[in-house]
Amino acid sequence: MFAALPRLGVGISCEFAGGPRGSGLDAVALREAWPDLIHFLEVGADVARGLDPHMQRWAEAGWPATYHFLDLNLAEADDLDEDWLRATLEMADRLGAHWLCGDAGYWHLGRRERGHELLLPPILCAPAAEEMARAVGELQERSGRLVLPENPPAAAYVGPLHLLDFFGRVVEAADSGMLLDAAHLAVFQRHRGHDPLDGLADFPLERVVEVHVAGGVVREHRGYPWVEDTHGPEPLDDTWQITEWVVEHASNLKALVYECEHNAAPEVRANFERLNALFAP
Amino acid sequence: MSHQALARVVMRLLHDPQADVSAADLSAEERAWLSEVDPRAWSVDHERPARVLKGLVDELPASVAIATARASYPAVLAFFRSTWFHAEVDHRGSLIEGFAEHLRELGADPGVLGIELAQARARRPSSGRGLCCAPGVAAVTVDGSALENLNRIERLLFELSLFPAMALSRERPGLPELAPPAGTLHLVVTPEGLRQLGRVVCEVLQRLPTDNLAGVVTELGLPSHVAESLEADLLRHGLAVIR
Repeated sequence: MFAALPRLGVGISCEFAGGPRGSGLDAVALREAWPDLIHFLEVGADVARGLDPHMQRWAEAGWPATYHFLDLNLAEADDLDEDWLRATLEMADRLGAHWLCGDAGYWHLGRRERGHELLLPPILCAPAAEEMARAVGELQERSGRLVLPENPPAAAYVGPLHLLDFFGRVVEAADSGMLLDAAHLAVFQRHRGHDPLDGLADFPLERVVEVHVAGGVVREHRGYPWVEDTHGPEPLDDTWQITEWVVEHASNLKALVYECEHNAAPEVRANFERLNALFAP
Repeated sequence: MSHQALARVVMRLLHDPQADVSAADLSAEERAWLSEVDPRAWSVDHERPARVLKGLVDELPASVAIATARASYPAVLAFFRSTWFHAEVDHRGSLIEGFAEHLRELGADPGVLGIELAQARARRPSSGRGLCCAPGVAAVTVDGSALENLNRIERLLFELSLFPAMALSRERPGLPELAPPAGTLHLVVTPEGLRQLGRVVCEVLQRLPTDNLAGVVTELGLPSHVAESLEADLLRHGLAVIR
């Protein structure tokens, strides 16, 4: 199932209008400047806004891409509708996206509406995993694409299961791949008081097709310690530890994304070099 | 689907950390899971409500301007502590509908709000069956002054957008005087823009979806046999579709 997928190498992420915001990275310019370091683009988009000019330029160049949705509640089996699917596949086709992926939880409150960007993980319990597996399976079937659910970040997780136990159940039942976000997993492990690698050995690692790496900052709110998923330049040590272990053990890993779209190029070059040394295309 | 009820409680707490969620339909086990979370976790991202508000404001900008001027910015932001917000999340409804009710309570002009809400509804897919408004279509009946008032507020917002720092100056422009009530407007939002149509068409569109158009026209005081030709007209002009 995964063996036939192309090995994309190290990629960069982008969000709508991320380039024109000034300090954000222009993925097209960066690919032209560093062709040996950046091999594909992960486009973060939603149907309300579509593809911005940077994303369209990347698509026109014909370089490899993946599509990361920002507007589907995979935690709700009935959130998928025909209008969303048609619009999403149009964008994915235009990009030549190799697969669909996205944080698997809740993006919107209530019905789908623009601008919520909730990014909430599911309740970590068995019935929620079963429902998400149905949603992932249905999306794979109706889209005809491989779908990679991603473990979302949070300041707090609710439910008795370990995050990796939850998503292991999801991808096995849905027969899908997995996008393992190492930074988000590091957030969870700290929140629950686990070591960075806890639970990984029992996860179906052969299903991990893509890994995300991103910077984070340890913060305190009224004495409550938490990790903000800032997408700043420097990943936490925990994130590096998870990334290196997963790259070594995930036999079907095809893509490694450095989510660093808000930073200046000189701040991220060394980490692109480190990631390429870890996972050459 | 109890885990969905728990997820909605979490959503409510993230936007209103002091919310009383004791009435939520949760099992004892789910309440225990919730109680294991440090309550301070709900408020770590204090900008979260303002980010959601941004999306809502984008859809009802003139109504928000009037409500802010007549009440206050904190009063607008208090949407997340209102029963409207909690009810829409609880019932998996539409935040824009609840936000519109909140603005109505704060003194938003009903005509301006009616037009902006119809435009917001037209952007959303219809979930009904039978005869439905076509994609991009919604109708509203408002006071005859509503369009003029919407124009006045949009002009103010445009001026502010040219130089946002103006809002910090002592000479910042205030809310313009609104036009007095003047008759009734029957408006239909279409993908091509706002159109003024007849009362019957407008009121029928507001009652869709339906699988009993004859009953709808009877409610409006017309003979039921009108339904057949009316349906044909709505379909021919692209104002309605059958699902």
